[in-house]
Amino acid sequence: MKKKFLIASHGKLAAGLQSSLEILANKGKDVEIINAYLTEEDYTPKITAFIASVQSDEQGVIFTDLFGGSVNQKVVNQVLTAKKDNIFVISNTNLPIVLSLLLSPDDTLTRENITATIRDGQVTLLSLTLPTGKTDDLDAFF
Amino acid sequence: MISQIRVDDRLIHGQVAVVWTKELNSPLLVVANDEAAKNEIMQMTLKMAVPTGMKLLIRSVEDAIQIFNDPRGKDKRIFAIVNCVSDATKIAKNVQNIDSVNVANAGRFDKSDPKQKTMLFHSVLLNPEELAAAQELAALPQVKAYNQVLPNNPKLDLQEALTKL
Repeated sequence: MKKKFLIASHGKLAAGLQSSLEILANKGKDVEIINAYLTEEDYTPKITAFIASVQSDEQGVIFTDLFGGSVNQKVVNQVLTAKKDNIFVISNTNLPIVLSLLLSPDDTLTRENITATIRDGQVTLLSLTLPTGKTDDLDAFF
Repeated sequence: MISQIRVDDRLIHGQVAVVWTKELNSPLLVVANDEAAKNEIMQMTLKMAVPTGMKLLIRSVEDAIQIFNDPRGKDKRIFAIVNCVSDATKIAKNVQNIDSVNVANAGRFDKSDPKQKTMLFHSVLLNPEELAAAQELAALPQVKAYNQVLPNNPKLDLQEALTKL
């Protein structure tokens, strides 16, 4: 199934994510972006146009930066107004989640597989303690 | 068998961990690098870069060659990663059953004199020793050698690029 992606953010986060996607996976062109509030221009029509572009046999994913932020509110508003059930909205977006969904081998996205992707792509506080002892095992490798 | 030897001066990173392991369907990763084999900090950061569900071994080039020749690996798809062309050439000369060598990214962090380096592909800069190793690699009849940074980039033949220099 064809999937379409939009990233909408306050300022240039969307463009920044697009740039990272291009370098990591050559996928920058696979996302549309909205960098809101850089100018006074109303960006709502861009959201509406994206939603309208998702055909009934396609799926759309809209990534927003902040849960409850104005960009997120506008997106949710437009999706609900359009009454389409083939569009998912994700907020508090980060790079691993966008990358994983763009590269997802699943033909069809479901709430379940998106939720699993989100769980695997969480912000993490790293442990910086070096492991002691034997760290890998040849027998377990094969 | 080795599904691919990738030459990458960053060893395991986003392109490799996320994109290539899926593309090659190779859940077994071997980093063949003398420095990483003895540097605990490098080992820790390399392990962080490996997605869950994949297995990783970090070995010196010499020890990695033994692993690649281990009969238990014959029917498995192993993805080998080295950080310079000369290590890839050494492995290619000492291991049977290698599908291809991908000279993806090389020479950007090797601290050798930039004026001595030849740009062979967009992100492949080779000092004289590395260039000689690339010529040796391209001449090996049993392996295909090319440059392909990401799976949706075209494969650029190594021998052709060397001929054009």
